[in-house]
Amino acid sequence: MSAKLKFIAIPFASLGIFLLLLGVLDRESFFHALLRLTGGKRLVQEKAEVLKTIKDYNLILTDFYASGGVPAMLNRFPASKMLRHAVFRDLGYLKNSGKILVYDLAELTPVTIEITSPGTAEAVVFEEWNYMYQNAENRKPLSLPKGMGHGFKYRLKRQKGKWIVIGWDPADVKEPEKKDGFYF
Amino acid sequence: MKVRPLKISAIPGHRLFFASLALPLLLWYVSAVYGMGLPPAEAVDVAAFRIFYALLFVPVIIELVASLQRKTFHRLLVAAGLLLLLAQGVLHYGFRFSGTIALGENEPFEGYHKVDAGVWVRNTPVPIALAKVTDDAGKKFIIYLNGRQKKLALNEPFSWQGLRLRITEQRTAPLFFVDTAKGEQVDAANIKLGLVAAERDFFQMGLLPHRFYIGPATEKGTAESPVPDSLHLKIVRDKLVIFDEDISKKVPLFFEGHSIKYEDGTPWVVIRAERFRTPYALYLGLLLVFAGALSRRRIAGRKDETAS
Repeated sequence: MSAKLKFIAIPFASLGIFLLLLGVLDRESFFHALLRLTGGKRLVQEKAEVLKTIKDYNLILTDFYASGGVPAMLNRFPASKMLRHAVFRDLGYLKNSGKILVYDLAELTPVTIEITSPGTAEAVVFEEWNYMYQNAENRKPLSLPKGMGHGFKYRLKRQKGKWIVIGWDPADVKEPEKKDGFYF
Repeated sequence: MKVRPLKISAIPGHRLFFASLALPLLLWYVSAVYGMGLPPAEAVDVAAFRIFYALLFVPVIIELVASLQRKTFHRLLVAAGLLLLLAQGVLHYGFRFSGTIALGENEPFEGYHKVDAGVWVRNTPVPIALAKVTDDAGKKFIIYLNGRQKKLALNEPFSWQGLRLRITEQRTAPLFFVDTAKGEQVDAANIKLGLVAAERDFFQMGLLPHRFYIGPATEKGTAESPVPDSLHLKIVRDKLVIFDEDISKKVPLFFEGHSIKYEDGTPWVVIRAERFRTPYALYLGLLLVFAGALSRRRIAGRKDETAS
C-alpha cells in the first residue's frame, strides 16, 4: 500500500472499528447518535412510539378511574412503579370520599417530543379532558360533566425495549385552537 | 546466535496509529457534546471511547522509548507531555467529585442532593449538621463537623477527608401546614424551595394525593422578608388542576375538604463539596509539549542556518 493511501485508509479503518465497537458495546448510544445526527424515518418512528405510550398511559388511566380502581389493566399500564403507586393513592383518596371520578380524554395534542438521550425522552402535550364525579355506591352523578384543558410534560424511559412514563408535571402550554364547553 | 534487542524506533507507524485512534475520539466527542447535546461526562462514558483512549497510551509510550533510544530531546519532551495529559484525563474521569448538600437548621447530613462523581469515587458522607444561622454579619453559620463546632462565613472554605466544602447560599424554607376542614393537622413541613427546577418543585403532605407546586408570586409584593409575602401555588390531583393562583402568607387556602397555608420558616443552606486536586499532570504535560515544540523549532532553525 502506498504511503498516501495508508494515511487515508488507516484512520478510516480505525473510525470503522470505533463505530463497530460502539454498535456492539454501547448499542443505545450508537442508535441515539444515529437518530440525533441523521433524523429521518427512525427518529419519526421513535417519537411516534413515545406519543403512543402517552396515549396508552392515559387510556388505561381512564379505565382505572372509571372502574373505581379495578387493576385489570395494571400489567399493560406503561408507568413506573412510583407512578402506579401515585395513581392508586389518588384512587384510594376518592374511595374514602365515597366518590368515583370518571375521566374521558377528549383530545391529546403533541407540542414537542424529544429523544433526550439513549433510552430517555420528554414530551409536552396539551390534553383536553371531560370529567364528572359519581357516587361510589350507586354511580349516581355528584356533579355535572366538566371540561378542562392543560399542558403536561411527560418524562419517559426505555425499559426492556418499551417506553414507560416515569414522571409528569403540569406545563404552561398555550391552548391549541378552539373548543368550548363539552369536549367531544 | 546473538539476539539483537528490538529497537522501538524500528516499530513503524506509531504516530499514524496515534492519529488513527485520536480521530474517532475527537469526532465522537464533538458530535456527542455539540451535535447531540450530551453532557461531556456522558459522552466519554461509552466503552468504545474508553477502549480507544486506553490504546492511545501505546503509541505515546512507543514514541517515549524511541526518543530515549535515539536521544532526540524534543520528541522526548512532547511524548512525556502527551503521556501526562492522557494520565490527567484518566484521573479526571475516575476521581473527580463535586456534590451539593442542602441542610436546614438542626438537620444532619442525610445524603447529597446532586453529585458529579468519577467511576472510582465513592460518595463521602460528611458528618455535618447546621446548628444555627445567626444574625452576625460575618461568621453567621454555626455548624457541627464530626461533633466539633465551627463558625463560618458565607463561602468560607473548610475541609473533611480530602473534600473542600463551603456554604454558598442561604435561603429560608417556608413552613407549610395542611389541615382538614375541621382544623385537624394533616401535616406540616419546612419546604426547601428551589432545589429542583421550578416546574418540578412540588411536595406532598401526609397521605393526600395532591401535588403542591410552589413558585414565585405572579405579582411581587413590596415587603422584604426571607420568606416572600406571597407565593404562587398550583394544586394538582392527577390530571385535575385544583388551584392555580397566588396565595398570601398566613392566609389559609381551602381546597377539597382541606386547607393549606404557609408562614415564615427556618433557614437552610446550600453547601458545595468538591474533591479538588491541583491538576499538576495537566500543567506539566502542557509545559513539556510546549517546550518540546519550541525545542524542535530551534533545531529546525539551526539546521536551516547550517544548510544556508
